Amino acid sequence: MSDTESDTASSVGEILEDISEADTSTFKCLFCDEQWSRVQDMFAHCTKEHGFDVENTIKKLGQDIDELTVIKLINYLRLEAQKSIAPAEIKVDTETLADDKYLQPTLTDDALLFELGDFMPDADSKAIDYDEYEAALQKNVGGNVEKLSLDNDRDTDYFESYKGNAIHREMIEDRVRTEGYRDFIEKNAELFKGKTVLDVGCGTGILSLFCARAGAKRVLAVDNSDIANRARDNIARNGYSDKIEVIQGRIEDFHMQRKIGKEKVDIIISEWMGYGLLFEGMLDSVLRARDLYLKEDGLMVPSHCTMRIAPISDREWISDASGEKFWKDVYGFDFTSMIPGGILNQREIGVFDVPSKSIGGEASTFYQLDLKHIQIRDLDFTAPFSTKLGSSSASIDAFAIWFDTFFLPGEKSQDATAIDVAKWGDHGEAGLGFSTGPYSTYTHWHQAVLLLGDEDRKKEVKGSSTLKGKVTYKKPRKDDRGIDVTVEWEAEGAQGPVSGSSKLTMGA
Amino acid sequence: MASSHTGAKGDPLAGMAHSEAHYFNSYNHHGIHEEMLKDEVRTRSYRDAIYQNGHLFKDKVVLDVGCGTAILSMFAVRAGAKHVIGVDMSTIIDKAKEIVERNGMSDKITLLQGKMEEVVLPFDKVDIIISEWMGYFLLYESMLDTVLYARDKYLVKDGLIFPDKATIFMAGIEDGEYKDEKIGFWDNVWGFDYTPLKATAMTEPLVDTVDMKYVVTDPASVLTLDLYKCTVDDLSFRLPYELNVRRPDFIHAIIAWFDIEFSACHKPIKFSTGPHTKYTHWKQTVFYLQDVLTVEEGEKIVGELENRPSEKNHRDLDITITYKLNTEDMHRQSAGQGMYKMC
Repeated sequence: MSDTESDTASSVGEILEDISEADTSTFKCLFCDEQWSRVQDMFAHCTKEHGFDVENTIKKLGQDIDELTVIKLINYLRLEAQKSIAPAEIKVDTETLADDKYLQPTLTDDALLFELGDFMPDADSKAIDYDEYEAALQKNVGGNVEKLSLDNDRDTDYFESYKGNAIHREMIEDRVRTEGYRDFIEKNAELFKGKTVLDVGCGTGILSLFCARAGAKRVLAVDNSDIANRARDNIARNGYSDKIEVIQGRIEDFHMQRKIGKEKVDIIISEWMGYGLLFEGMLDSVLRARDLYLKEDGLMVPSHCTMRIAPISDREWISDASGEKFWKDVYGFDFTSMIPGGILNQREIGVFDVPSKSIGGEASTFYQLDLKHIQIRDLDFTAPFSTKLGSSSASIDAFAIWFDTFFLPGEKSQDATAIDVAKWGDHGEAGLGFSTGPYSTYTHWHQAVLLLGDEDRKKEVKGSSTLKGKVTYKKPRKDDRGIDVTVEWEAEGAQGPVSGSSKLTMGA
Repeated sequence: MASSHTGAKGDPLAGMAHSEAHYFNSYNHHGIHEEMLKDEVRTRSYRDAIYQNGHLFKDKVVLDVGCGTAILSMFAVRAGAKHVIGVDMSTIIDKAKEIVERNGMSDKITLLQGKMEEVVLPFDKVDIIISEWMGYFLLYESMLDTVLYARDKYLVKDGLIFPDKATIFMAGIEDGEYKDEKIGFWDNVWGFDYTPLKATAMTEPLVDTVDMKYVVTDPASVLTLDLYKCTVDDLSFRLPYELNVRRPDFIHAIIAWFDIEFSACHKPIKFSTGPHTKYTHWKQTVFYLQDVLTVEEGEKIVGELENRPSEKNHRDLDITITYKLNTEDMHRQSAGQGMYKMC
């Protein structure tokens, strides 16, 4: 993907804003240090391990108890446990719980206090009113509410993790991508010294700045969007206006040809990669720029991309990713109609960070793009692959597709497929390239996931056997930016060979 | 964060990288609906407001403005409504129809796709309007104008609106570290000076969760909208506010949030999207100030909050916040204004 529109201030805002969504509260056992992610599980554990049935205890307090009493009960139980009183010995009665001192949380940030609604005697009709709780707490306990950390620890988590992730994400995403480019340029400054560079889809101008700093004589930074104005500002402020010329417009049009001039360029640099490598079709523009403006012996940065595929065998993960689990019961209603159009389905290619444990076979390289020579027509292709399945893979749920990017100047290039990406560090190999696969640090490209049809998912395959297949990438006629991807495969099954085929699209 | 060993026990998202989990939740428009349905404060409050008031819904005709996946419509049917009409512009209505069918309520719920101004309802008047119209900062991309239109055109005299009250609150926060990260980021990008992007970053309010411990002032309510009475004109306003400082600290930003009330309920139901309470997908809205205010307990920050739809695009909001720190200490006196754009 180009950073044309994605590196602006607002998109950083979006990235930041989007992060704090997952709910990762945990609930500490009332009597020991174990943590649980579901209250039910924690209560079951209390019954089994500590002989204390919390739900039953709540019931015994009677139908009429209010939410504050239940909150007090939890604080009371934790307090007693802290005094090392055996769970079975703890005396629970309404008189004890009448004391408002138990409103005060025993644990700071006790997430449990906010999840008790379902355990009320009449859970369906009574919602816990936390404002009321807070008011009661302030009134009856007094003191500094702030110190009590009353706010749900979930909120705190959100904020904290968000803070962490914001930096994290900026750093890591930019690290794999931007540092990949930067390392290559800085380690190979001699290639740039005195050269003319064309930056296709320059965005905020960061790649142009790297090139200029490495000694390029002249950099032409082209972008069709208004971000070009910002790039110009950034470049001026860093004192490179004399080296870098920002041009707003389409790379192919006549006007641009006149601006760039008859002199061809030595290097074309671009960050054009999209999901599944080719979605968004920006490569077409880069290749047209190459044909129009690059010298015969010029250099493409990056120089190569390889495309890789691996089977996914993990029902559990698929069920979560497709939302199937969630939609089955939404506040007592059946919402499964949402699934077919959900984020992971059998029509559209999904984009996910696939956990490496869900990968059910070796990754196979099925296509190589040599950016110096590849033609636009080569971007529609069919290519074979072959993968050894994992020993425990009994069926295939989906395929994951990703790509690796290489910076291989001059004669040392040729065959990127010979490079063993698995030996690279998490962030790629400095100056050589980076991977967007499930075994590396995640990137904003994630992986493309093709979910198989229900019938194909049921087919049994033999663990450790070889699965063979072919992948077809094809642009739909009417949609220049979308892609149709077809995967056909065959493998050894329990009773003879099995095969399947899926066609999915990634559309705008 | 959850300690990692709990990951395997229940929550499927717990073991994943945060961004990964987030991706599931927000990848496409289904993700948005999932996020909203999973927002427990929101959905439960509506559910309680409807279920606990069966006596109000019994045999009534109900209009669900911006029905989305029709969850509120189905709540209303379960509460005894005679008929519910759900209206939504988006194609989500096709999914809503399937869901309603699957839950056996097709005879009770009529779903219409289109603009409220253009659709033809099967009833001339409705007894109750339900709607979840609120946007970030209450009013950003909100459907309130549509709700008000529906009220004026369809609601019977003495009909009910769920919810019927919305209040905007403000407070001042200490946020040095994060302001530096978010705004200061542009000072040095990979060794380059990117400050041209800094001014833009300052004008963008940030939708974010704010931890209570960073709140330095008492909250102050600025505006209460009574949905029975208010008009579209009331959504453009310039109103004074006053924030009482609670402790000696610095103030880097003003935050805003809103509370929602269903006062027609037998026992009024409210929820808040403030920093003091449970997470909602609305989070809070953060407005960074140019200056850092150095404040002492008991001092006051006074100013005005102005909001109006942008002239260029009426879905965008132009927000202006003026502020003045009232203090005896002339070295700390400070006043200014920030202009923001939500778009």
